[in-house]
Amino acid sequence: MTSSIPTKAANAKVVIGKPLSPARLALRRFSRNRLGLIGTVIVALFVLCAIFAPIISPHDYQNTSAINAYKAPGESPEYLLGTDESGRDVLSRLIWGARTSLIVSLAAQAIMLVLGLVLGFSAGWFGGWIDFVVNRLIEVFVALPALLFRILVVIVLGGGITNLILAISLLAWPELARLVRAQVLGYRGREFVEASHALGSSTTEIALRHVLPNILNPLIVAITFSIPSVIILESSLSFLGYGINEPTPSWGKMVGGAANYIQSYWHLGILPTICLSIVMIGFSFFGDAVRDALDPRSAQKAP
Amino acid sequence: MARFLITRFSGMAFVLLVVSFLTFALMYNVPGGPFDQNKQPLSEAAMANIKRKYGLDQPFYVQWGRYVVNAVQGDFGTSYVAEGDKIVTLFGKYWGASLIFGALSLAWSIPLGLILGVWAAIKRNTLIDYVVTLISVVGITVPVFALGIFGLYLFSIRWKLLPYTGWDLVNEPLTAVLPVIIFGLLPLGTIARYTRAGMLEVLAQDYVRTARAKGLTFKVVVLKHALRNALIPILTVIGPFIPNALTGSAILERMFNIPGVGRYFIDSIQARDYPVIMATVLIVAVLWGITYLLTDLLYTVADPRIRIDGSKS
Repeated sequence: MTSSIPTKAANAKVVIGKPLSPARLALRRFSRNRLGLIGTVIVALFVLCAIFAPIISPHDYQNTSAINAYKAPGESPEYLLGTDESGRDVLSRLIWGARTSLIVSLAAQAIMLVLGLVLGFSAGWFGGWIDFVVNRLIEVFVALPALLFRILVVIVLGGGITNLILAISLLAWPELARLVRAQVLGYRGREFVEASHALGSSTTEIALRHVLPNILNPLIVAITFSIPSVIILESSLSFLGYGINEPTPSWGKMVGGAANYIQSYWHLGILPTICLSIVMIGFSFFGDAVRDALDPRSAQKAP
Repeated sequence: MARFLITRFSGMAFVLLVVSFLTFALMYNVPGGPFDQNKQPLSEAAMANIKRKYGLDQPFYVQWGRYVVNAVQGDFGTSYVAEGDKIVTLFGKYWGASLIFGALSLAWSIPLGLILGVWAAIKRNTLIDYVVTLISVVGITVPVFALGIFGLYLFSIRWKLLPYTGWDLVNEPLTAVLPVIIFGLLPLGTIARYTRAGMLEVLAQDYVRTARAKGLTFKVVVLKHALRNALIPILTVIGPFIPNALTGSAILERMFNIPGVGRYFIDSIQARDYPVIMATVLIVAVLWGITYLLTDLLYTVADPRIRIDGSKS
């Protein structure tokens, strides 16, 4: 007996090597995902464009000039991707459009996250009538027609970026709340939580120190998928004319404005569409890779 | 079962009550309100008359209460814009196009999505699998207006294969091709993706290997044993597409000039046609409620292990 145990341990050491932290393992899984890397590059480019828009855009996005209107891409070296109906540089507006999308999606995401965490956590943790109320609220918000009701909200509040963020986020939190609630329910009765409770920790303390770290991974996964869906909402509302106001550029609005004369000036509608599509596909690859890295069990199960 | 249905229906009634209240509260705050003076200035007495006729002189909660009481009795009021027309009649007119549009889109995309998903799972890691995955990614992630613009530009303008917008099923059925294909891409992609994943999971199960080992052909195993089990989670995925498709797409209806309910809704908000806005929101809410209920019931049919109260035995 004395001889067999050390041998086993020694063998294990040779095979496994130095144990890696979960974060390192996740990073390794992530970097092995080729599509995920492509997605990461696309998302990184999108974010960089958004951050450095004032520096990299060749023109002011709102500079109009009637003589330069409707230039096709490549027609003039000064306007690489052409100009729109008021002679504004399309390339600059595309770059600034990335910024608009990112601002809206991050701000809306932050509001959704706070609402989802607070409501989902209270429902799962306290149960009883709080759980009942939150669940009914979720049912109500899920039943509202997603796009049509947001149009109504935008019309009531008025257009503009702040109201758009509110219209998107105030109706989109139920998904996160549901996730948080389900996760918290799973942890409520666990020994480490009860132990902490017995030691006199307050609810807030338990929530922040013990439960939140445990639900972080599914939360991160949910957020990586939620950001592109917010971008879709922003661009769809802007496309219909109930989103971003002039002169702020938004890809959806650019497409919406150009849809009527796409027969004569294809680039005004097609270029923002291409940008949006590439960014969406990039986010999808990125999100899949993040999920597979953080939750290896789902890698075999989920698509 | 009876208890389950009663709970669900009373839950639905509650949701509808709150939804109607929220919509009413928002509508009440649309700047301008109905019958503002922009188009045709009216004398004060005439205005007061109109407001009294539609009950708009009453406080907000009274109006809401009256609406609910009437709606329960099947009276959704009359449109302010198309004066005197019953909401029910108006919806019959506008919903038709949306219903056909949505139904046609699902009619090709649901079966094809299932077929592609199964096919991709059987031929895992081959060209077919990659093509199906690509279609799924594009259909799921690219917003519908972007797909619409691409489609219009390529098929109608560049290659001139299909008519440029319009909706005339009887005289010009080709007008429906592009919008119906584009509207179906999201359900197609989603269903193909989940079917593929579900099939891959099921095909790795022991009972599938057993079925193969006892001499059943691959075809029988895939279609009878694997697909039936893979179908259960797919039902939840298909469910929400049905109310979604049947209530039309405001974006595609505008883009392709389809006289459907999505476009009508936006026009009605602009015109502050309260009864139309209310009716649309409520009908969508009812459709969603029914879909969730049916999905839960179908679940118990597809998988007898699942009980009606949602627990697994």
